[in-house]
Amino acid sequence: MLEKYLDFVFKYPKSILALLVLITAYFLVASANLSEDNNPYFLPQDHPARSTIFDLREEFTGTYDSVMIALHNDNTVFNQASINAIFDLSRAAERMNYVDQSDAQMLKELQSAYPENRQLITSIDVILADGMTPNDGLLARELVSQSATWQLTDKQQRNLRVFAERIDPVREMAGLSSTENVFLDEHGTMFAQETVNQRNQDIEFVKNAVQDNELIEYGPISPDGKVALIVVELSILEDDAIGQVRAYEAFKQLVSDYQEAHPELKDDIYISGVPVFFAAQKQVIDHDFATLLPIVILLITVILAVFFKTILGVVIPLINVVMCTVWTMGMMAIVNAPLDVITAILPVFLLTICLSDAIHVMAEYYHQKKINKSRLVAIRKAMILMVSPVVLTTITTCLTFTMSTSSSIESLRNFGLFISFGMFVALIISLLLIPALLALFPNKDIIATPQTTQSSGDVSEKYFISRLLVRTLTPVMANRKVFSVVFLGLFAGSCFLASQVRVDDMGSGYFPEQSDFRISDDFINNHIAGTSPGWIEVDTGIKGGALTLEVAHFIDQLEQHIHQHSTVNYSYSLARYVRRINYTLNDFDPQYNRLPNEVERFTEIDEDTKQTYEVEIAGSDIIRQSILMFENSGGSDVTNVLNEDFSKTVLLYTLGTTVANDYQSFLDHTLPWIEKNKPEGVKITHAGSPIIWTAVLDALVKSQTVSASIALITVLLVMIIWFKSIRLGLAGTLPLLSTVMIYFALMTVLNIELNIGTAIISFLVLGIVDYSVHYILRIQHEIQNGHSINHALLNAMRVSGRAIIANVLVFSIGFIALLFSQHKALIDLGTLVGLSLLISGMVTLFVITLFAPWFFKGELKASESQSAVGILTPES
Amino acid sequence: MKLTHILASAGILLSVFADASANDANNILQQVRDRNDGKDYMSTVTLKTLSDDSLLNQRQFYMLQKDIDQDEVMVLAIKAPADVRDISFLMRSFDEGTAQEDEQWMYLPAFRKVRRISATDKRGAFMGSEYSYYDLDKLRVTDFDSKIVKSESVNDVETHVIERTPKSQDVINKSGYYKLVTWVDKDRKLILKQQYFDAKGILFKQLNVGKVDKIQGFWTITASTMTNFIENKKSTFLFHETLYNQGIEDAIFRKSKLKRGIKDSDVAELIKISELE
Repeated sequence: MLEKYLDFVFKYPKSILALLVLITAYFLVASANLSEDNNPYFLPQDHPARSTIFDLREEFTGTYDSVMIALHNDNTVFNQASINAIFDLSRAAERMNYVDQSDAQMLKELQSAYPENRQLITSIDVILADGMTPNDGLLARELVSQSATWQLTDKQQRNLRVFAERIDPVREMAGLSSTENVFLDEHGTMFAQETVNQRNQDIEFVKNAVQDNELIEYGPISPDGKVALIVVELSILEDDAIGQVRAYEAFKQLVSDYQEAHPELKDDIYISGVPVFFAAQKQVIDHDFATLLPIVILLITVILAVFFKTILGVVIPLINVVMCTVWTMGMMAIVNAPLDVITAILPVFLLTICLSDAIHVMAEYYHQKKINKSRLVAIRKAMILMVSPVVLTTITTCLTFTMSTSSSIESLRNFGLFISFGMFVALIISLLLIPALLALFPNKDIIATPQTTQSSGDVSEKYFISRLLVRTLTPVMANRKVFSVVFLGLFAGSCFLASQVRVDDMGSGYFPEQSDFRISDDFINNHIAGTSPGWIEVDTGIKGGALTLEVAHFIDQLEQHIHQHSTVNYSYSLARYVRRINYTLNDFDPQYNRLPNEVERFTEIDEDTKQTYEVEIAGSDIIRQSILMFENSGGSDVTNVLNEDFSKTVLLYTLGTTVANDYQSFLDHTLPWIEKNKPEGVKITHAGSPIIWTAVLDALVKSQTVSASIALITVLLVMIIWFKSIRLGLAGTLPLLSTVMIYFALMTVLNIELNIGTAIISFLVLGIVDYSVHYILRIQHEIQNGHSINHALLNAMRVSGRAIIANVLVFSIGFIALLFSQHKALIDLGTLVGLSLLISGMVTLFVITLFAPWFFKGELKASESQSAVGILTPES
Repeated sequence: MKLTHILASAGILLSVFADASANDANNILQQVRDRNDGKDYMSTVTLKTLSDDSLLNQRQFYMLQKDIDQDEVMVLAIKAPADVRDISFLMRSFDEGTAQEDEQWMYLPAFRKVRRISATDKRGAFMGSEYSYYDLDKLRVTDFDSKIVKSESVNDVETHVIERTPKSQDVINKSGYYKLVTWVDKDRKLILKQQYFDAKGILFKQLNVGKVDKIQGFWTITASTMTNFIENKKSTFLFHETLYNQGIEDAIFRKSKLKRGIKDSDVAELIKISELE
């Protein structure tokens, strides 16, 4: 079978190469349609942690992600330049849209594609006629709702959805020039309006309006008056990477143009918020894509050149991995899998990991060639020796990576699936490409190496790496008991430390400290509302139920409770508004700075008779009439906290952190309190950053535990079946298990958190079975050749050990490329992956060498009996 | 009452035939504003707000208005539902030429005081409906730059289509509108349709007059609907028992009377007096 395959390859090398090139060209063209999803949530949209926010958006305003512009003045923002800037920037931001000529082109292409659809053509003509303004938003949204009935393709429908949000993206605004405020002037006239509703607004008027005003403090303005915040809610789709970046760039441009045009404005201005986080992440992906790929290709080229010292030794593995990377990217585009912050590093992984097969085959080829064989014979011999292990290792690795699909984290699932796909096609390509190319081209030595007539072991002895390995591992073979105790101690210690690993996500902390985004995010989190929003919905199920005293008091107490947590900077609720109205309409009498009681009693004076009389007013009437004031005050702030029929209300809060463990701490503080204190019959729903990120971490921990266990069992089973030996199955698996434990232990020691990025490594470590398989097969081979266990080990470490070390170096150095990422999680990943693969290689050699007499007991027995038979037979 | 309160844009307008020969937008709008609509006016109003055609709320109130000297005053007194009953509003619009700021007063029974509300910002939703307080105001001609853009037929009625843009930020702050497009009945000088544009230039609201009746010789809008395209909601004003020239006393429109409110008996009394006359 193997021979037939080799005959076929040697017979049609050109055709095979042409076919590979054609397929690569096809995938290259397909990869041009690769979509991007830079939303950092990692969970699918229908995951409860994410879908709740979409449900909230159906009923409440103020529930979209926001861009935040913070103005900071060292003295006070209560100066004319700052107040004017707040007004001007708010008005300008309100009118923004993020469409450009590429969107117009998309619409024109849509018209061309459906020349019979008059409605589509007319609507697009109307949209294009006035240069695409937010006024076209309604029409664009109508097109979106009809696009499904017109049988537009999925891509065309998505393009329209993206366009409709880009053209009219601003859903809500908040800030001194946007948030409805309630205050009295010195004559007692009540104002229910935006505080700064014109340029050159009187500063004293503004100060009076915001002083001691809980509707405003920590939201639009900091208590010390040095920071003002403008909040712009955008409905740009979370997976519209380009739209997010355009929005971020537009805001930066808006601010910079304003500063240039108004030199009198001395404030520092910071821009942050969830859409900015998305955009900054997208910029990281773009940066990584542009820089990491060339770096990793350069690094592996150097390693291959150093290792093989031949042109083909560099070119063939490189072509192999580039092809498999192109095929994988193309396949992602074909099945509409997006490039996100995790899958963006797939090329780096593919380029390095998929080298493995090629390195093993090429190393064997050169090894065979040096022991005085002709080129074609060497190829044939190398392929016969290597097909079995590379197929085994690749299938095992693919299976292991596919196990990561048990994760509920879509990004990890895609990563696992496509790295498996990449490895599998790398195998196919290597089995065809390497023999075909070697059959076609003569060997191009960079440094000519003379052929010898020496044996395999003698050849290997000449290599420095081989000698080093022999020198290092000989004491292990000589002192197995001592090293076994040391190993067991290390393993137990590692298991303990691994159990202590910290699970977290640092959010903006992954960006460089000096990056604009990180500086802005930190500033807003430390000085004003905070960039992480959350919502708690109270659903009474009864029309008007949210306006009952019981619910209002519950919201009030809940709001007070959440503010006891150190991360909560700001909140906004029905209770807060009612309290403010109660306080204001009772002329700021401090005893009314609260929610009304069930019955309020007042003493009134009859204006006609001048006699006093007692009045009783129901607290529910006070609430209802306060809400009427709220409705009357203009804007849509009432729909930020109440749904249409007042059966539901929402409490909005913002946290001054982006760290997942802070979110968890906040939820631990809040959820039990709600459970204990919520009114009977109400349903509570949570949404926002804390819920999403803790769900991501929860899914991560679950998926990590389940997937790693399944992957380990898979590896064990595949090995047992392949080697037809439980002992050898364990020999292949124990090094992997030890490596995973040491890896997690190192994370604990180095205080590196387990996050979505670092979680990948455990799959990787479990999946990289090459080291143990190649080492085991070589030992088996040596034992079958009649060597004792120690002799077999020495020979195996000379030949396979050298290839393993070469692989370790390629992997470790290849992943050094990740150190050039702008995302700290990826830098950590680069460090850890290099480190873990290094550990994996060393642990494999160490553990198998250490326990070899037990692992290979069966092989040794068989060899001994064969020898005995040989001795006893008359021919011998 | 010399000047009519168009209630306007809300379409709560009265009218008589007026000569509209001038083709100038301001002249036309001035004619709308100056239509003879009697000395006083009273009506029982139902205000319904619907979301996606399901009823969100329904409110009933009395509306009384009168011209006192050059000013127009209006009282709105809520009858139902119970939780907002007896809330009342008093609005005084001064002659446009005086440039005097309008006055608004409100009485909330739960807070026991008649409170003056700033009239510099009238964008608030009237009783939570899609009509703003500004929409209830008397048409203001000089606050906007207006031009006739075309003639068009609305429900078979010939109209001037007038585009209006606010002259100042103050007007924007007060109205919340960055542009209005108004369809004025050429003959009856009624606003039959009006479109409202926001800061982004988005058409977000539209007024449509549903029914016009002739009551006591005055063309009277008896049904109008305001549709909010963004929120997909609409509010409808329905005017019942509309009466002109009932001889409503000035005292009814005093701030001091607001707290007492307009009772059913007051209205019955007014009607009885009118019948006796």
